[in-house]
Parts: sequence; structure tokens; C-alpha cells
Amino acid sequence: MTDDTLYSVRNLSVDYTTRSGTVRAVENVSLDIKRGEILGLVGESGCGKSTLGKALMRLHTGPAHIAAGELWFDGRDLMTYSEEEMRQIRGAEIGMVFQDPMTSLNPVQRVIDHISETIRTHEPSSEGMARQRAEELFERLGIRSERIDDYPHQMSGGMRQRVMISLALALHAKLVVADEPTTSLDVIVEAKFLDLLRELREEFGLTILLITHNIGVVAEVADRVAVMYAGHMAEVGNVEDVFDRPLHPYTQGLLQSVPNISLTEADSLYRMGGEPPNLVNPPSGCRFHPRCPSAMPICSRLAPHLQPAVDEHLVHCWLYEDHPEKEMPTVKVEG
Amino acid sequence: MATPQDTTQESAPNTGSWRDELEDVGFVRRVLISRLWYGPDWWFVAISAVMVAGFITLAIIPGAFAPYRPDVLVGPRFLAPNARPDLPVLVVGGSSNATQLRDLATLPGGERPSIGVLQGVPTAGALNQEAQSIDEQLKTEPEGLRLRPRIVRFDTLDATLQALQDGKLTAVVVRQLEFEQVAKQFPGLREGSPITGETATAGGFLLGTNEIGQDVFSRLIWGTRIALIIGFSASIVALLLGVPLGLFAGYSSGPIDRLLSLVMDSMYAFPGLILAIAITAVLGPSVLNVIVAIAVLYIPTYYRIVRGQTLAVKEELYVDAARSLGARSMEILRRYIFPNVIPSVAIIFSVNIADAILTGAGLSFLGLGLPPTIADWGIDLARGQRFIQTAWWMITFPGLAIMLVVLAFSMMGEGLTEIFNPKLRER
Amino acid sequence: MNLSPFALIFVVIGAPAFIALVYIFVRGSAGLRRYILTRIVLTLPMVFILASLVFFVMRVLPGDPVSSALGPKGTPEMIQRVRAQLGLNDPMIVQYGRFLRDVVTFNFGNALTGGHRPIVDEMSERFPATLELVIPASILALLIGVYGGAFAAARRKKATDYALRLYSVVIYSLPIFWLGLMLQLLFGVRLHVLPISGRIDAVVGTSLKHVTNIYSIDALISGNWNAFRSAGLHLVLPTVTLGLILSGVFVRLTRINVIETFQSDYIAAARARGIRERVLVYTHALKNAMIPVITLIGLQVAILLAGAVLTETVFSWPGMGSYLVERISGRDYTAVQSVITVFALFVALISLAVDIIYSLVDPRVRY
Repeated sequence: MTDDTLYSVRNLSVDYTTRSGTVRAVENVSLDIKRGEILGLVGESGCGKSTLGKALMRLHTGPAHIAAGELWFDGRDLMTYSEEEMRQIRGAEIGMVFQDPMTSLNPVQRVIDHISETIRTHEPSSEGMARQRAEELFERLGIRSERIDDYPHQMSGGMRQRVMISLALALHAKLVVADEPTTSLDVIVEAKFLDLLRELREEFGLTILLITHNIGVVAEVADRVAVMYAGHMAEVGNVEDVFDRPLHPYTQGLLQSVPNISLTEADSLYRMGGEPPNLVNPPSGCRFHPRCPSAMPICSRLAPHLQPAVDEHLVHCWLYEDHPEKEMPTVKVEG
Repeated sequence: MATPQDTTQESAPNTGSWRDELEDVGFVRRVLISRLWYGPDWWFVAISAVMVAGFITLAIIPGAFAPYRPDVLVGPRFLAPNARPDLPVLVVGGSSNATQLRDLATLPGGERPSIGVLQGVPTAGALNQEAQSIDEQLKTEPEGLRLRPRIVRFDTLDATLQALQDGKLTAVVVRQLEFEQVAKQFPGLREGSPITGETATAGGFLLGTNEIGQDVFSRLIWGTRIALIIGFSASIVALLLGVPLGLFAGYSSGPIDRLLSLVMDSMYAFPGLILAIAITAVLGPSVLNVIVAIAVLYIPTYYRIVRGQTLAVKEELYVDAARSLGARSMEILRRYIFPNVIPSVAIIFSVNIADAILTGAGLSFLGLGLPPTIADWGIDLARGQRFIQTAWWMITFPGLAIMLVVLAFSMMGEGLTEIFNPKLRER
Repeated sequence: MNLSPFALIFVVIGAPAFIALVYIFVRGSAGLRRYILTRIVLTLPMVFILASLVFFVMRVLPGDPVSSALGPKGTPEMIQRVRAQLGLNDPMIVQYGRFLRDVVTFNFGNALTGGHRPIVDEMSERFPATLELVIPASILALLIGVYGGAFAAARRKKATDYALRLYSVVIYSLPIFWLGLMLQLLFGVRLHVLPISGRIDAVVGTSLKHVTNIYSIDALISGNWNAFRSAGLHLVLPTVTLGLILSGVFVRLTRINVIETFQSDYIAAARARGIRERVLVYTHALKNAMIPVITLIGLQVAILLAGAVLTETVFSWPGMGSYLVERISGRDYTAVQSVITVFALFVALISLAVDIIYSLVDPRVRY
């Protein structure tokens, strides 16, 4: 793990125990998050991106648990940490911004108390000092001082989302995991939110993992992008590289599905065939093979490995990986 | 190169097929399969369903389970559970081969049998009665036998038995347990059959008798009938009135809705038992009045829940969609709102029955509501309270019965709630 | 000074309540003020409706209340006289008006039977008795219920949870009068450790000075330890009976609400900020879960009063509940009417108090 990598996930698998059986929502996923970058994590609903996000601070409870893997955060393997040690990291070093700010805020707690409580949980601080720090933070994020004693239901959606961000920043976290932060916002508010993210990254030196199903958001604000499908990491690379030249058939299909304003009436909208798999009984080998237009027999037998196809552009596909049993030749990508 | 059509594995089931498969599987199998799905809550509902079925059976055919009729005085008073009643029995000398009182009958003109009894105890009266009724019966028979004993009274048990031993008496009638205590001292004497109610004691008194000699166990079984009648009737009446009112109020939402809701909320907030007390006090004691009183109590519950659900469903998009397609109100109520309301109503119904039985028992415990001639658990409890120092079985068992029946129905309601409200299940 | 205990209690509870209300009103925001006023205004119709229901129900009886109250001794002239005295021959509207006026002025008239005492006097002895029973029972029920419910919710799907769920279902199914009888049997008859009827030992009772008519408090005030001990012992079984039955409902309610609250997103979000688990359960979740429970506490008053009627009958506790039953059996309809009206007032006031407390706890309601 190099020094510019803030978080390194190695071979992570997360299982859910349900009444129908065990679901492996994330299988053998590895991902590096670099310091100071905004990494977009995209995929369909149910592909495991939220699960992965929660796993970063080991937030799972109940039926979900981490089955295997290593979580190297800033040189420490979080898998070896006790629950109490993890609790000290949550909110202080890794922060999380949730999707729906209305339900993510305690309805009977004043907005400012959310932050002062967080501060006082992690650092010895008086009520007054904590409140003052909270006020300053709110001001920086554009929440007017007369609103700080409000209850969540008295604020607008955009403001609540800013409160969520301030909660994540209250203790100067190094990594912010934003789980679908703009899904519940309308387009204009979403644009402002993304601008704010960029500013904060500059000012506070944040590293942001932006989880979303909206490729447009990723294209606009992320430095790198990671594409997940059915619990596997399909493709990882710089945003320009991946968007200009998507290598994984799934990414190709995904990008083709985005309606293009230059389409004429004669063109039809592209639809990817098939449906997302049932994860209780997932497809064997590469989980995308039932829908893949380029599938080979080996794809249903063995899962490929996430490997660099060219430079830092990683892909999880037999098209680009060598194997003695492969029927088709490996595609070589030029740099 | 493989194409999407050559998939070796179905990635997602056809939406209709698993439902069809489920329909093919029989009901019984479905019930058993659901056990795996629902876990312990399934057991809750299953056990309670069995209990409920059992109680309903008891209520429909109590005679098949109860040894006696509930109102008949079949035994001695205050008999403890499973104790042997101390009946008066016939005791004869070793040489005699009589066992029953009847055996002592003689031809008219022959020597009348002399029977000894203790002075000042009711055995003499019982003996007289039995002898008379046997005599009446003998008159109709061709053999021409008659039973006209001469009754000789003694001061002590010993004297009585001694006289028999000495041959001065044909037989002696004494209490069974009394005799057995001293039987060793009179080796020549033999115990015969009880002279009264032999058929009555055949069943024994499993749970004892109450203060006037009725069998507690039989009253318990027969009490199921009135309890369930009240429970079901009151709930059904409340349902038939409350649900339509709730549907109407929720759907129309006009001034009538507001007025109805105000009345219903006031009734709902008021203690139910007290309202029932007032109503039965006014109407008088009878089964029908109790049913009416309890039904009135529960109309607001059905009303509120149904109205709430109606309001919620009314706001759903699919109702708007239906309306925009021109559906009429009755149709919307019938096809969209009503089916959504049914699970809640079913839960309330089963809990309602439980509550109605409790309230009914409470009413009869207080002495209001049911006429005292009916075999009812509440009435039995009230009677038993006076004898709490001596006859513990009179209050223990009727109350236990109430609890079990109410438990059965509440468990069913509780289990159904967990099954119908999946949001409480672990995600 | 013969200060009616009825009035005394009214003042002791009413005065601080009134002061609190004024304080909240003055210091609260506009939204809170509006809410409180609305609630007060809406309570009046409820009392009105209930009182009127009582009035009409009582008048609907077949037969004449006076003649059945006087019994065979009543000559036609006597009946006519009493009827005229009670104004029963006047048109319904006039009677109704008079009834409403009487309710407002607490003029309940005299009992029809059993000594013709002013009903207010009888109630001033009975009402404190019921209070002495009902308040400790409610506290007991709340303690068992809320902590039991939170405990069960924290250990969901484990053995303790199912045990507590079973407890609450069984308790709910127990007829309260049977529980009382069984406790009497066990502790009174078999073990001889607790008294099973009445409020206080007769001999000791004569030495007690009645101020509020709540015997335990009176004994405390006058330092009469014998009386205090006796009153306390007599209080145990009835309170436990009523409290246990009520607790079943609270366990169930709290458990469901805490479970539901605990699955909320804001709990997960708080956990993501490193808030301690214990704080999450007993502060964040419980506070939110209590909101629906508070509304239901108001409705439990109904169950409380019904339970009180039965408990008082079982333990021969001379409170309002047993008074009601006695008066009904004695066909004393004036008294019955008065008692039910007082109950209605009580329920309405508690409802109002609960609503106001609710608005203080849940800020969403007032804005």
C-alpha cells in the first residue's frame, strides 16, 4: 500500500443471512481510495455499492456481516479493531453522509445538538464550546445562524443535506463516504451540493467516496470511478479513461443506456438485455455472463480477476485476462 | 460466442411462475412450508388455532365432554377436587347377599326389613326418600315385592353397627367414609352400594363441587358455550356496524365524518367496562343485552382502524389512477380499499373476541348482565369468592378457564399481527 | 374546619397543574400556544357528549327509578312526592338543562337509597380511595412496562424477548379479578402475610385523623406509624393486581415502538457518527419510541378505571369503582349518573394533560 492511498480494501466479502439463505452481497472486492480524491462508486440498485460503503466503517448490524477481507485505513487494518475502537473511528476519522436527510436526522433533536453531541462523544469538550464549533461549521456550510436551533422537519431538503455533511465534517474526518447523497434532491439543489463537495474537498483536504447510481453525477465531479455489478468490482479507472473507453461489457452497456440528446427519432433507446441476478443463487463464474454479449464458455466456469488492462485502468473480465483455457484470444488495449 | 438467448441459467424467476406453483401445492403443505418462513410466530398462531378449535368444539358439544349437566345438584356440597363423596352406603351382615337397597325388598305380609341409621343426620331422610321411590317402582312390577323398611335410630355409630353385627338389624345405612374408618372393628360386616345417586357418582368430581353441589368441571365445560356465544356475537355485531361506518367516514371525509369521529373518539376514550355496566344496568340482565352492551363498546375500535386505513389507501396513487380512469366510488371501495382493510379487521376480530369474553366475565362477576341461572365462569367466580377460605377450587378453575380461552384468542391475534405487519421484521 | 377531601385533592392536584399550564403557555412559542388552546377547546365537546350520553341513557330506562328505589314500601303518594322533588315530571329539555347546570356546579344531589346522603360527601370519601389505589398501580405498571419493553427490544429474537412477549400476552389474558382472587388465596389465605380486604385495620383505623382521606398520606402527616403500616399493607395486594395487569400492555407497546424506532435511519446515522450503543437505545430510540406510548398512556386510563372497578370489588376497597357497583345493584340512578359523569370528567382531563405533554415531547406537533 503506497503512501498516497488512504484506504485499501483487499478481497472483501460481505454476507447477509436471510430466511431464503445466505446472500453474498459483495464478493472478493478490492479497491484503493487515494488521498484527496473523489472516487465515484456506481452500479445498479442491489449491486452492493451501499454494502461496500458501510463496510468501510464496519457499520453492519444484524443479518449482515463481513465474511472475509482486509480493510487498510491509513495503514491500520480495521478488521483487527474491536467494536469500541471502531466506534472511536466512526464520525471522527471516517464520516458518512446518508441518502435521505429527512429520515437520517433525529426528529426530536435540534439540528445543532446533533453536532454538539457528536463532538462531545469523541472529544472532551464543554457544552458551550461544542456548540460554538457547531455554529462555525454551520456558517461555513451556508446554514444561517437563526436556523441552528431548528428541528429537522423545519428545514428544507437541501439544508438538511448540508447538516448531514457538517455532521460528517464535525471532527475533521479524513474520509467521507457519501451514500446516494443527491438521490432525494432535485437537480438544482443537487448541482449546488456537488459544488459544495468540491469546495470542501479543497478546503479541508477531504477524501470522498461518492456512491451513486447516477453516472452523470460521477462524470461531473469524480476523479476516478469504480463500477460494481452484482457484488463484483467490474471496472476501476480515471473518469476520462473509463467514460471515453469503457472496457467491461457492463460498463459499455451502462454508458450506452444513457439517453443522448443527439438521438434522432429514428434511433431507438438502447436497452441492456436480461435482469440483475438473484444473489441467493448467483450465476457461476463471472456474474455478468448471462447478460454479456461477449460471453465465452470460460466466463460461466471461472471468475476473472481485477487486473490492470492498461496503466491504472483495472478491469474484471476474461476478455482482457490471459488464461490457458480461454477459447478466444485476449484483447490488448493500447495505452 | 454465446448470445443472451443461450443462457444456461435463469437469472431471475418469471414473475408469474412461482405464484402458480404455490397454488398447485395444497393448502396443508403451504401451511407447513410457511412454518419455515415465519419461525416462532408460526407456532404462536398454530398453537392458538388448535386451542381455539378445541374451545369451539367444547362450546358446540359440551355434553360429550362434561360428565354432568351444569345446573343439576349431583353431589355433596364443597367436595374437594377428586375427593370421594361421602355417600350413604348400605352395610349388611356377612351372611346376607344383598348389595343394593332394592335387594331388601320383601313380599307383602313378610317381615319388614329393619335398617339402622345414626340419630340426627340427614341419612335417614335420604334413606326414606330412596326407599319410597324404589317402592313406587316395585309396585309396577309383577313380582309383587314391596320395600317398607322399619327405620331404627341409634345414638352412636358403634351402637348401630354392633346391632347389625348381633343380627338385630337387616341392614344399616351410614356414610361410606365413616364406615370405612371403623370397618376393621366389625369384621362380620360388608359394605354394599351407595343408596343414592349411584349413577351420579359414576363420573366422579374431577374438580370438586360448589356450595350447592354442582360439579365444577361440568360447569367449566358448559361455561365455554356462553363465553364463546357472547364473544363471537358481540364481535360480529361490532364488526358489522363499525366497519361500514369506518369505510364510509374514511372515504367521504365530510362533516358526517367529523361528527362521527368525535362521538367515536369520546366513546373509545371512556372505560369500556363502565359503559357496559351502565348499558346492562339500564337494559336489564339477559344474554342479548350483554351482547349488545359489549358490541357497543367495540364499534369505535373497528371504526377507527378501518377509517384510518381507508384514509391511507385513499391517498395512494393507484386509487387516484383508478379514479382518473372513471371508476365509481363503490368500485374503488370494493376493489382497492376493502381488501387492504381485511388483514387489520381480522386481527382486531380475534383480539376483540378475547376482550369481549373478558368483559363479559367481568360483568357477570360483578353480578350484572347475565341471569344467575346460566352456567357462566364469571358468576361462578363471584359465588366462589365468598368461600375463598374453605373451597379454593371454586375460584381457581373458572378463572383458569377464562384465562385459557382469552389467551388462545389473543395469541392468535398477536401472531397474526407479526405475520401481517412485516415492517417489524429484521431487514 | 370541614374541608371536603374532594375539594382538597382537587386543589392539591389542580393548582400545580394550572400553574404549569400557565407557565408553558407564557413561555411557549406561538405554535405551542395555539395547540394547547385547541386541545382545551376540543375537550369540552367530549365531556359534553359523554355527560349527555349518560343523561339520556339513564332516562331511557324502562320502569320508574323512584319506585324501584323505594321498593315495596313506597306508597303512590311517596313516589309522586319524590318524583316531584327530583323534578322528574318536568319536560325533558328542562331536566336536561338542570342536569347540565348541576354538572357544572358539582351539585349531584342526594342518594336515592341507603340514607340519602349527599352524593358529593360519599364521593369525597370514595374518590381519594380510588386515587390511593390507582396512582401507585400506574407507576408500577409504567416501570415494569417501559423498562421491560426496552429490555425485550434490545434482546430481540432471543429467549428473553419471547419470554417477555409471552408474559405480556398472558398478563393481558388474565382476568384482573381472578388475579386478585388468586393473590388473596396465596398471600391471604394460605400464607397469611397480607390482608385481603379493606383499606386499613378497623381498630387502627379509628385512631387515624382524616385529612385528605388518602389513608397512607394522612397517617404520614399525623405521624401515626401503626396506621401507616396497616394502610400500606392493605395497599399491597390491590396495587400489585392492578399494576401487573396494566404492565402487560405497556411492555408490549414499548417493545414494538422501540423495535420500530431502532430500525430507523437516524439510529444508523448516529451509529455512523460513533454514538455509543447504550446511548442509542436508552436515549435516542426510547425518547422517540415514547411518543406513541404517551398517547396510549392516555387511553390506558380507560383500562385503569375499568380495572379499578373490578379490583375494588374483589378487595372490598371502598373506592369509586365499588361505589358504582353498589349503587347500580341498589338501583340508585342518581348516584350512578353522578359517578359516571365524574369518570367522564376524569378521563377528559387526563386526555387533555396527555395531549399537552405529548406536544412538549414531540416538536413536530406544534409547528
